[in-house]
Amino acid sequence: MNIETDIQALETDLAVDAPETSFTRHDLSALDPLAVRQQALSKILDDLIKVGDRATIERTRKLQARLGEFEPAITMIGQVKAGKTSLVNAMIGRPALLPADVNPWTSVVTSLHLDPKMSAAQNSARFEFLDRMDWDRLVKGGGRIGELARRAGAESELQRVTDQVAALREKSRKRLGSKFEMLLGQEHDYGFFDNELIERYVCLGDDFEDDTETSKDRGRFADITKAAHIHMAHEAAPIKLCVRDTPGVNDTFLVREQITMKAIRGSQLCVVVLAAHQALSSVDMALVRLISNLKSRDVIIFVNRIDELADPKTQVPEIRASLTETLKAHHGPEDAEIIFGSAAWASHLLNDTLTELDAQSADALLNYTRAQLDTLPHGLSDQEIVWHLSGLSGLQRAVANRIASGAAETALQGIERHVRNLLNGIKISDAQSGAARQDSAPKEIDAQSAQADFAELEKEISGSFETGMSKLHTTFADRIARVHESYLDRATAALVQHLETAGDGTVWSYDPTGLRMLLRSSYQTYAKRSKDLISQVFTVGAEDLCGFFERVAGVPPESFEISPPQAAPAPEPVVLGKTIALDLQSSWWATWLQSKTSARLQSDKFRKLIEAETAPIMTALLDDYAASIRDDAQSQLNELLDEQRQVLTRMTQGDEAHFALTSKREARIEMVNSGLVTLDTVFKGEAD
Amino acid sequence: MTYAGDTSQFEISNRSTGKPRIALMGEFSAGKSTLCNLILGETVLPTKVTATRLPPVWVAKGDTGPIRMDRSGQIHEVDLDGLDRIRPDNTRYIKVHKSAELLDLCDFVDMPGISDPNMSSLAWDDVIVETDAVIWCTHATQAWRQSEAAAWQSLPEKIRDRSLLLLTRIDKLIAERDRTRVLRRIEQETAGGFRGIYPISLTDAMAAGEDPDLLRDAGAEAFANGLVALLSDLGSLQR
Ligand SMILES: Nc1nc2c(ncn2[C@@H]2O[C@H](COP(=O)(O)OP(=O)(O)OP(=O)(O)O)[C@@H](O)[C@H]2O)c(=O)[nH]1
Ligand SMILES: Nc1nc2c(ncn2[C@@H]2O[C@H](COP(=O)(O)OP(=O)(O)O)[C@@H](O)[C@H]2O)c(=O)[nH]1
Ligand SMILES: [Mg+2]
Ligand SMILES: [Mg+2]
Repeated sequence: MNIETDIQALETDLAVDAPETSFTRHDLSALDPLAVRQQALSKILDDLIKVGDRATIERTRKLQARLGEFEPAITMIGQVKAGKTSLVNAMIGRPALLPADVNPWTSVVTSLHLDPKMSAAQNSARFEFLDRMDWDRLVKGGGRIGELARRAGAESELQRVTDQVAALREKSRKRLGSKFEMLLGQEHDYGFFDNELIERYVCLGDDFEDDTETSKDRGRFADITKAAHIHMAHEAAPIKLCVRDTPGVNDTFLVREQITMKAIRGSQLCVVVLAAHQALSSVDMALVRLISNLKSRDVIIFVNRIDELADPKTQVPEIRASLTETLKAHHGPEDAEIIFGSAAWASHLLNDTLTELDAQSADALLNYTRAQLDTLPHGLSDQEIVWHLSGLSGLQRAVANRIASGAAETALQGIERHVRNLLNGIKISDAQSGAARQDSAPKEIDAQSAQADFAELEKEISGSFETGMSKLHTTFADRIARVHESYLDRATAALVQHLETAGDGTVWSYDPTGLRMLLRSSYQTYAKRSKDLISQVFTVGAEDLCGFFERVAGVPPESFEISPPQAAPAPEPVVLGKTIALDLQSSWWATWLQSKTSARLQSDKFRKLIEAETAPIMTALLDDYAASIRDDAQSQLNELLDEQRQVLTRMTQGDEAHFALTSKREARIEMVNSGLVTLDTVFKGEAD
Repeated sequence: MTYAGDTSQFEISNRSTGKPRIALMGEFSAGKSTLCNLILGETVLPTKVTATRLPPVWVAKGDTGPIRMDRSGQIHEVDLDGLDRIRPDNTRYIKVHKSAELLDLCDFVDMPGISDPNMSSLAWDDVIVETDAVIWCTHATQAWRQSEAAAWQSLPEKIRDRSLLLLTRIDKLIAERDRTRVLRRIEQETAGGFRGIYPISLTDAMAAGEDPDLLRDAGAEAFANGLVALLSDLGSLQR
């Protein structure tokens, strides 16, 4: 078997699949190496199924499943009407797929699952409705905004929210009938999708009379829909990808803030979409808060609608400078890449209607073409030039590059290590249990005592992990508790001072940025230290396990290798961006601050309020974020130990299984060896 | 340079001319300054696509040079060309005198954008209370955001009842159907809170010059009528 030709064949396969017409294919080429790696892993696992024993097959299936789930995600967030949906549509080359409109429209986080291997006949859609609990919270208390208004004592806000909720409920009743609340917690599944179907679930629909046919069905389920999943065939993507459209900051009751945050947390990359003519205003600070908890490299800023600028040539640099300044002033990701473009140009290009561009848009395009001429690659067709100027090419390249070099790459490498360990384990146990050994007779293994020894070692490795982690966890808990306490002290003191010195009518607010920054740095310290600890435990553990096999079975260390798992990247603390009462406009606080009770009493009340607002963030940091670092590492460690226990079992197993093994031995030895060579070739250059 | 002559004309609380005062409000880049320039028939105020960090600019009839009122009540002569160098944090407002005809009927105050993240809008409350009506500018393509609704709600009711809403950049909504849809929604959301809602393209109106057809197409004619009716109700036409 010739490995080199195999890999070449894989690469040509990919190239042949690409439709000529798609601009996208080329832009995403940075993902090709991932596709090659994924397919190489996939082939090895397929082959293993053919030659493995039962335990191996079981393990292989698990790894296959994990490989199948490999689907890097990109989430679009942004200003109202910035053009998020239009941009998603342009990215997948289907300008009319998700509903876009001139009025606030997207109301549901919509995940497009793009699959290059699927056929269009397999397209499907799933719509999940809000849980009973979320809904009750919304209708009874006005959702998170109602809770905030109540806490801030903003009576008129609260009234407004209550009215809006009542209207919303009434609207849903009208659209869905009186029993609509029975739908909560359920989902609707379809073996297809089209524009009309999607419109029923993910867009707001009209509150006013519109006499077109479709308007009645539009947004029918929108108010109670929590998430939409569209699974679609998409040849142009080298690997599976998930592109998520969100309502972004277009969320009246903050019902979906948590859902949006979850989407961001589960994404490799965020694209922040802004409108060129009003890039980042103070309304968008919630957006900046969300993204300021991500690393700059995980954020791409797309400034859309440059076709609406009168003079993009001079205005684009102006906007860039202003954006950078604002991000810096508000502790946003100031180094994030900023791309300018127009979903409108891209849609016209895809629809082949460029000739119908209105005069101003066409002028802008011409103007921008002149400005960008020097930066365009040579030899592009007119259409490709427009694709470049629309920013879509740059956006997709940036997306592909980040994914290829980021967490997705790490995830694939993680799987690769497991496959490698599986192959090495089979190789060594085959060598151990069989006649394949040429030079020396294998060392006789006493199964029982070996298992006991292994258990001992396992206890030792797990023990050092648990002790280390629990110490770090306690330190972290103490530290953020102190940070929290001292923030409450400072905020309360500031309020007392304000109440004592300033008169009525002056507005006061206390900026929660400091708290967020301190919590973030505490979390980052914890994340860094646990990563160090985890890597250390994994590395030492793998070495000790090698040592064990040498001791027990005489396996020479140079012929056996165990790859330690790689510590997973810590989740970014997105929850810190959650809107809390202190973020709200100070007008909300006006009446509260003018209340005539004593400064002392007011400040007690204030302290309780901030505590109630911030406590859930603290809890999430500890029990969700920090705990997930620990739990992820724990399961990686368990996996490593299980894997190696399996190797030991194979070495010492009884006659029956041994017989089954022997019958496929030749094929297996060949398969394992070539598999290892493939891994070395395809994953060469892997940073260790 | 500190101003030497009669300073009472520069006090925003001095209402002796009896003319109503109209504030131009809205998010940054909504077209407030463009509108002001359109009304004055000349480019007085800088307009740009990013936030213009200027304090309120009060425009009134007269021929005195422009001044700057600082936060301690001192009055300084300023240069119109250097407007963008004025620091908003120590300035209450700028006053500019012009001879446009409309200024016989009222004064205008071009307010800073409500949502400039780098500038707090609360600093201008003392200027707003000295105005009688508001022309609120909102981008037709992103019209009437929650932040706008909230800021508008916080204005005194007396002012709100007299206000006009301009949907600027209407030229960016090309399809008639799109314009209608946006207009319907805004009407529904503002629920009669404004005296009138006017879709307008300020840039088209600028370019139209005196051409009545073009002015009508740009939405300037309807707005002009609305403004005249407002001024008439405010009493300035009777005098
Ligand atoms: N001129 C121009 N119009 C655009 C551009 N991108 C989107 N649009 C239009 O602007 C409107 C809003 O676009 P959407 O894609 O619905 O915006 P969105 O950000 O998803 O809006 P919400 O989901 O309501 O927050 C639609 O009418 C689009 O056709 C652009 O780059 N240029
Ligand atoms: N196309 C178009 N552009 C406009 C319109 N009104 C304002 N602009 C542009 O929008 C930008 C911001 O306007 P400006 O008056 O400075 O906004 P302000 O911050 O509200 O004072 C400028 O580049 C204007 O030329 C309009 O009705 N149509
Ligand atoms: Mg949308
Ligand atoms: Mg201005």
